[in-house]
Amino acid sequence: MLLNVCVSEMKKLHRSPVWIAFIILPILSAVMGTFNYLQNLGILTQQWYSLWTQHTLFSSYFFLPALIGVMCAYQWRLEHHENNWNSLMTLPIPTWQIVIGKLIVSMLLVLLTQVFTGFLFIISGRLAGLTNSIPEELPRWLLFGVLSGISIAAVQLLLAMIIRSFAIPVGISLMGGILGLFMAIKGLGLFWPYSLLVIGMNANGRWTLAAGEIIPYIISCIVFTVIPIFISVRYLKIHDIEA
Amino acid sequence: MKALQLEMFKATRKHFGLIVFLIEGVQILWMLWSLRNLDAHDLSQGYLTFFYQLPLFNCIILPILVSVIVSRCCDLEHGGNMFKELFTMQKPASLFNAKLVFTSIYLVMILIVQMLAILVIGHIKGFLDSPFVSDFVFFFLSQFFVSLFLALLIQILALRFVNQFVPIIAGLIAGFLGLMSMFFPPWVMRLVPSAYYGLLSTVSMNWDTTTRIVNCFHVPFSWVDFSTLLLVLILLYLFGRNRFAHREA
Repeated sequence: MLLNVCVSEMKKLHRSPVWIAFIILPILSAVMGTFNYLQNLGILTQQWYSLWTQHTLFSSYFFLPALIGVMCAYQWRLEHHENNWNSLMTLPIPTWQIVIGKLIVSMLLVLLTQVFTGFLFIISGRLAGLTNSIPEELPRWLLFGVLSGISIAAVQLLLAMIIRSFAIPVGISLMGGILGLFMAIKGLGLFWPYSLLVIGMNANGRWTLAAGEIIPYIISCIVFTVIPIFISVRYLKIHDIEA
Repeated sequence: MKALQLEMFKATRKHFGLIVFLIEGVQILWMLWSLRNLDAHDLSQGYLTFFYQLPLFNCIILPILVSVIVSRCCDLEHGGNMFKELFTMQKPASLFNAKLVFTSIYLVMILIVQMLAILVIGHIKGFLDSPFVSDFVFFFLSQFFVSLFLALLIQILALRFVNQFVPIIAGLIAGFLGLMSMFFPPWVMRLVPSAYYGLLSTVSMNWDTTTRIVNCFHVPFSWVDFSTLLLVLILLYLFGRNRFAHREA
């Protein structure tokens, strides 16, 4: 059943422009980040590590959370339209599967974005003349990017489900990203889902997780995924629909 | 005026003010945070630093905030084929103008709040320099018209596309390109509308790599870039209004 829900969620996004944004953002980030890296070789001396910060710094602070927010708002917007809520709630599908189905689609998009980001990073590095081996931490940064992206998606899906407006959850995700910057700097990043992205991806080159910090980080990602899912499912079960 | 009043009525209970208040609140917190641990040198150029940093913050936040306001304002009309009904009573150009003025009112409020925040924070932190009136005038002019340009661009998209994904993404990409292009030469910045937030700033900065000291200093307001922006704004306005006036309702 869950597989069918996922397939139908994917069909809803078929021919939607949502995919394009997830391709454009990493490309812009890679092109401009690499150019900036090449312009500042005198200051950015850490080679692959410096290039990584240029690729991911601004996107993971502000723009990737907002983009995930847009994608989640788009998924629920389809249900907020016309009488789709009525149709959705009368389908013989458990409510938890509706929520999980949307989260899995979000997860796939985040996963594809991270894979694409990694691919562009390696290509850009080679084109920029970096001949030494790529950082061994790269797969971990990307994996943690996926985990934290799922947490942000879970929170944003909850917000987009409750708030009928398309734009407001996006505004909240922007705020979340900025607050995430403070929380991370104050050392409270593990307590705020939007900080997890910059910490996990080591976007500013300062927050490489030590061995002892990885488990708390993963637990934090799980908590910020499970709690919003639980609230979403409860909300769907007890709240009267507003079609 | 009547059309603007109608827009105000439509905005009732849509929480526009709350969104602006929250996002601006976070931005002011961010500004405060960036001014922690000030030494005597920092205090001596506190206002200058503010006028240098604020356009950078605006480049990240305002394109997305503007897209949220504009998209929410235009999305109201897409439901229930509202344009068909509206056009029987109201000229399309009037509706187009009213929506743009509605957004402009929020922009003016945002910038007034920012300028008040500069003064209040400067007073609290005990900045030693004094801001010039011209700093505020040029700050307002530059930030307002760049935001208005983006609002117009996003409004054209928000009215054209039922799917509000398009204008929101446009705002997001505008912010991202603007921020990234500030690390590029000025000719690249001139190609990116949101980069004008920084391009029109009257304060620049010099970072000494050896002493690690930042020195902010005044630069002349770029009337050429401002005139270019105004010219493109007018052309875009005429194009957008014309397209909207001839749209199929």
